[in-house]
Amino acid sequence: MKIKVAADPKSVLEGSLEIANYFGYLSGVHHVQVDVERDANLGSCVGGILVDVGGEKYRVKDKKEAARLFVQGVILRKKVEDLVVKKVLPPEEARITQEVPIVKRNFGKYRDIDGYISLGGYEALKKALKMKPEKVVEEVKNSGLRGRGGAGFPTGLKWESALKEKSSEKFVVCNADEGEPGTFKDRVIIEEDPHALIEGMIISAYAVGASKGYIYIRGEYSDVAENLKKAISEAYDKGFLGEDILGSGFDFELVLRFGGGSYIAGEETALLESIEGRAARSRFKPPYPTQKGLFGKPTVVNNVETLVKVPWIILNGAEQYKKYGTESSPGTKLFSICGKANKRVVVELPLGVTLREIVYAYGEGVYGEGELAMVQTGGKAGTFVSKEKIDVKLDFDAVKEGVSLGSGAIVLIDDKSTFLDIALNVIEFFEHESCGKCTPCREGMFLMKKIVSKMVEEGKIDYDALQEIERIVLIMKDSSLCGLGQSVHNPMISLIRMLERGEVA
Amino acid sequence: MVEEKVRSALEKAREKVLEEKDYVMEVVRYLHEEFDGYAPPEALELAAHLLEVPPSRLYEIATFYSLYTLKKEAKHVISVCASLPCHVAGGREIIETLRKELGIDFGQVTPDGMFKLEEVGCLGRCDTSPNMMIDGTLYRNLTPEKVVAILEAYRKGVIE
Repeated sequence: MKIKVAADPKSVLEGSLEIANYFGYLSGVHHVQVDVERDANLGSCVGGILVDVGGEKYRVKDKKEAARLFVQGVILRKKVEDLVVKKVLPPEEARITQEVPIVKRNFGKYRDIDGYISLGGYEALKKALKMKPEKVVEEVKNSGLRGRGGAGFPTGLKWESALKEKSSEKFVVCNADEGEPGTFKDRVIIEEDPHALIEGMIISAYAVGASKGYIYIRGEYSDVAENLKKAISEAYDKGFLGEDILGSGFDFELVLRFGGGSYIAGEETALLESIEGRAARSRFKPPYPTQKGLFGKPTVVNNVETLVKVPWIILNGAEQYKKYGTESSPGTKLFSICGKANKRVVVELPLGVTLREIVYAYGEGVYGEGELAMVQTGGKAGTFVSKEKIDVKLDFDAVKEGVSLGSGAIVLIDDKSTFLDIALNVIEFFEHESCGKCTPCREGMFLMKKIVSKMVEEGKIDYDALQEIERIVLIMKDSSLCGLGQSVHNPMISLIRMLERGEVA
Repeated sequence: MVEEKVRSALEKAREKVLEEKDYVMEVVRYLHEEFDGYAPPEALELAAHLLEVPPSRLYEIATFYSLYTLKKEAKHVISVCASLPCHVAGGREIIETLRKELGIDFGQVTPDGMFKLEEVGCLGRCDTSPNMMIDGTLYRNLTPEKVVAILEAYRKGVIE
């Protein structure tokens, strides 16, 4: 039996790939062999997805209808009268943003440093070493590149501020402590293109005048780190690391350090504490790391994805980079699609892409029986976005509309999850990860956990208690020491608003 | 015996040093390797003495970070991801299965000393959730049936 599902761009954006996946799921559940084809030329229809079963054209609005069509039309081979489509329209065009491989430029293309070099690797370093450090910083500044770890601080400004510091010693640090739930892009980069990361670090060190660098990778990635270790030693052997790099007179030493399993170590000052051999507890800012960072010296901390973009920008120029993305948020961003998604992958898309495109064209909707209820964007400290708001454009400005870009995590959540279930999950996570140094965060988490646990136990939502939670998260936002406590209001308030609008039960 | 292991951990941690005492975390990590999953207090104290740092510094690391511990409480440590991407993709059922099969909750050890169950934030493998780690070995795309089979393999010593 053959099922054809409309796959013209318009149908795709309305969730046709989710329906196609669902037919595959149903064939597994019912042990019925079917051939599901995605057909871009099948046509379309109004108010649902066009499906062809054995030559008969149907329209399905949701998974319930798709399941009925499968049982009656496919298994029992009957005509399902009420689902027969009245009018088949031609396939409809729509804009689906295509992937732009800047970070992914070398994925799957090399195994060792010779392979990387044959792809043009370390050419950007050669070019940068012939430039004045100020010029390198200017190029990165002009590109408008913003930090890809979550905060989105302009990379060029960070570098400039470190460059201006007068110090006998400076450091560059790569934050590879990717611990934001739903984010796995940095892991994939390290697996696929470790040399671009190393090259980006050497360039950043040259630009700011640092002679020593650390890559701080989370302990949970010790298997992945082997790849990086090998790449670092290759780079030393070829003379890209060490003394007098490529005869330029520039020295740079790079070493790998492991985290011990701590979410907060991803916060840059906590990360520096950890490299110094202490518990990962955030420092007061100012002074900022660019003034007084690792071992008290000016330090630039950059995320993996940010650094991997640097060689590309140096080679291709800031103007070329700015051709992608939006004015406030130039370039591309890696998105980690996960949760209940049919396709859980890392995609690289220009900023300004809509959440709908990511969810339906790349993530192919949610797996199994449930319907999409919401998406968490930006990580655990990010926001819950209801299905109604799915047309939002994702960039650093989206936060004004209550949607955070953060680390690029895209967690699809179906309607099997309840408000209390999600709320407790979020709070338990933060309560576990709060370092305990500042009172608002430590006590706030404790209080919220108590409140939500009580509701879970009683099995009902207490709206007065939710007001108390709103009060707590706002106090935490204003008075917590670091980003952890300051950002818990993102998930909590957005989730409570969804409850109030009846978008989650 | 302890001293040998501590000296070995120190040596490995010092493999590449850029700045004085930039390898303190590494010492604790390698102690866990030497002692097969934990860092006993006497080893920490000896290491601190050799490093010329106060013992509290190493204790702090060994107790703050979730991958480190002062004592070996069970033969195998199960770290299951409790975070949202795993949770909504079947992780809920995985945690239920583990609790039921082991008869214990998070932070507890089975009476036979075989397993300790721990929840972890996110293992960064959300493309294959639900995930768990046992003694550092990753198990991905879990189902309740798979979990039961994996536990059985450890119980029978098929996996050491």
